[in-house]
Amino acid sequence: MNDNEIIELYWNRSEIAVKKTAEKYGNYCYTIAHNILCNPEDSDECLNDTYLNAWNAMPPHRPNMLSAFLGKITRNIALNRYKHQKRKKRCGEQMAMLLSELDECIECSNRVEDEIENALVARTISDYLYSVPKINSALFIQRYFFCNSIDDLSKRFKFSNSKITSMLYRMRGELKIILSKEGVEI
Amino acid sequence: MTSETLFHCIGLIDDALIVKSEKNILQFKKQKVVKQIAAVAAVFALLLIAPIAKFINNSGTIDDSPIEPLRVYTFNGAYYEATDDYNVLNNYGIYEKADETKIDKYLGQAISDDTSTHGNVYSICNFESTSVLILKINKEYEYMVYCNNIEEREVPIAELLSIHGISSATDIENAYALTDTSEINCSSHAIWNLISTARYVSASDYYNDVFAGMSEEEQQSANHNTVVFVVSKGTTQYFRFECYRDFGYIYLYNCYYEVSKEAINTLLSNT
Repeated sequence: MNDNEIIELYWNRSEIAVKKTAEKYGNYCYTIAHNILCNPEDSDECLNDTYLNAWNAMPPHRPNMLSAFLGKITRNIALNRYKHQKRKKRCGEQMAMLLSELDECIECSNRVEDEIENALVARTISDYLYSVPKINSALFIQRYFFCNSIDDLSKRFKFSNSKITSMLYRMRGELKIILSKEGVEI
Repeated sequence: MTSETLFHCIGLIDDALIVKSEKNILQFKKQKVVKQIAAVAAVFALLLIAPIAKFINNSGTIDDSPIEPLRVYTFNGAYYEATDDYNVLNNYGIYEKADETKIDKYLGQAISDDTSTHGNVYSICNFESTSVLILKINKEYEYMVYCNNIEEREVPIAELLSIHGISSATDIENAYALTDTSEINCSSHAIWNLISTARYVSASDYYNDVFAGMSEEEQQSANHNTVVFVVSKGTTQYFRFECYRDFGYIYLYNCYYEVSKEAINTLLSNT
């Protein structure tokens, strides 16, 4: 079943939509959740929340790219759950490492940005990712959107760990400069 | 902004980038597979050239003896082929069977690429490079010839040249470049200037640098190259590399090296 047909099922309020979503994108969403939470039970719950959110969002929403739409929902839910876990001092090791890497792109500030500024930052990041070679862009997204580990990336891209690390390091440095130039308060 | 906020912002990037990231990995893998297929095809081509050449030399009789499978060993970050083919070994000035009297220093252990068998590796007496070594397995001695480095291992040009015993322009006895239509002689100093200043780049960096934003058709049409042979002093070795004149790269033994376009132009105009 193609994505448009699945979206149509949501719009028709057919419960088969969830079943078809799970069949096609269950593993994809589970992987994103598990990469962030590193826990099977939490990842399963996150997956169920994803289906519920998708059910609530369609209609009125009609995504152009269902996989990215579901991926973003899963990621947001997993991130919120992660923050909750962190408050309970149950921080996943991989996630803590990933966030510490991103610290290199920003300077210390406790101010919470509003969603408009976040959208501008996201636009800047998107523009940057369009400007770099495709493989670099793919690597950055696989690391910081899908939260894959360095080892996983090494296997998927068939690069050494050190090469992956150095490519990401260079990109973080470039992104930091671009964010500063764009006047993003960081 | 905290790292968590930035992480949240990354979650808001364009959908197209997210979807394309998966496709780009597949595309990149495909490129790598094409390269590997090309390498295998090159080996097959070499295997086919030998009987065809024999056919021509013997005026019409084809040697139908079965082609032996390659026996490849990994040693010191490179692939070596174990061989008793004296058509190959004679090119290195080796005419006698490997035995205990030929071995010099113990260098380490090699491992078979498909059977995981270990063997001891020795340098050869009075042989100045490590492009051919002696392998000892189960009290049997045989030669193994350098093929290329294991993919994605960074190999500085000096290391690659030292494997072949080349340390200065004087080690280069004769060099010539092949173009589509002719063969041109090159100066030893020009070729030394080119290869001694070459800078290693990984295959992915090479593809990113040269082919980023290029269509497949453009890549094919732009990929013209010139092949150069160098014959080194002492042992006679055919040191072959491909020159990418338009891009400022050379490709040898499965590695890419960045060089100045001026050096390539100087080499190819130095007839």
